[in-house]
Amino acid sequence: MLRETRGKLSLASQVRGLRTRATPAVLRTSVQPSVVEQEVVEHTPEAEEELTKYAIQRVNDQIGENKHGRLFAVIYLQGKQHLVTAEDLVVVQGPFAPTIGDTFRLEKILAVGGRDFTLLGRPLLHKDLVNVEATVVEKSLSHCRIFFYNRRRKNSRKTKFERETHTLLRIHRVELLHKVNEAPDIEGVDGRIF
Amino acid sequence: MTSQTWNRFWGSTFVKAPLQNGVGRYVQQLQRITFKFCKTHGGSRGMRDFIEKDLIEFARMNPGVVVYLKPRRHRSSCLKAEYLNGGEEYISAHKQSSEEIKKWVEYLRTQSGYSVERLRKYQHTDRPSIQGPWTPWMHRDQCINIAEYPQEELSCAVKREKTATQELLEKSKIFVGVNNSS
Repeated sequence: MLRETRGKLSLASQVRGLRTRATPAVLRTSVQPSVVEQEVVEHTPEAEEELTKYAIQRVNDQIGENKHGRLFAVIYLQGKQHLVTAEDLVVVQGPFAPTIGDTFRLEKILAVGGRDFTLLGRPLLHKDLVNVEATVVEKSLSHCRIFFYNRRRKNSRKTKFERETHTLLRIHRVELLHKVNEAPDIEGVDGRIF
Repeated sequence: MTSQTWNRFWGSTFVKAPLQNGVGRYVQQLQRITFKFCKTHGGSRGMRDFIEKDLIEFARMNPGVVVYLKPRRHRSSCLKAEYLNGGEEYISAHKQSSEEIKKWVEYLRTQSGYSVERLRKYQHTDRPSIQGPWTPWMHRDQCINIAEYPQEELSCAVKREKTATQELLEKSKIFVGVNNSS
């Protein structure tokens, strides 16, 4: 989204850390300059800061006008991470307290993104920024798993049957509550017990 | 019996929920539950205890579920559940205590009516990608979009940085040059 303002240097910083190598400089000179007009931008801290502000402004514009479209989120649930959007189904394996019909909010959100941007938590995003809600649709047991232990030539064998609890969650909402870098007056009070 | 044989008999599914359940509204899937038991035999004693103690509470807590009691002479007790999607589940409650039966009733109440099978994936999504799938051209220099192919520079091997040997050779050349000039 920031292609028009970025010169070669910024583009180089964009590909830094990727395993694929940047296009060799020989190729850049071979294309016609009339088609791609690029200029070398001075790499200064001020320019970097300006670019950051511009990017945040663009993201905030999308959030303010609600134009970001469908959002995805990386949630942390029972020791596992899931990449989800609204209307997704997630199975929680093992003991889990909520029963069918319960709706709750997932508070550990590692990342949220839309079509044009991604907000990464360090490691978690603030609770006031993102709201991800889930409904328990089904609680059942997994298929019967068999654990068969056998010692050869020792007349000893043992079979165990196990069915663990499966909780089926429907993610029914992923939303951003306010703009980036614009925290509300009172933070983190929602649903907290003092 | 190996695990392969097991899978062949029991099958496997992906995660699913009937009728988009949970999107906007939630509907309990259990429709009917039937308690079959004998009034005299000892195998149904736990079931009779459950009916005396907990059944009224269960019916009160689940107004959307129809509860049937079916006494049958000299036959073992069982539970039969029927779901909105047409699924059925039968559980034998023979010689089980009322606590065990309570757990199985709770299990039947929270099911969705699909038969239990091994899950191949533990997550389901209808929108696999929002920012688009990764392609080899992602974050590459845009010059290659309008380049004409075949191109010699792209066809040749990737030019790597100078090796240590090459650098040493070059330095030695410079060194030789300096020595010669002096």
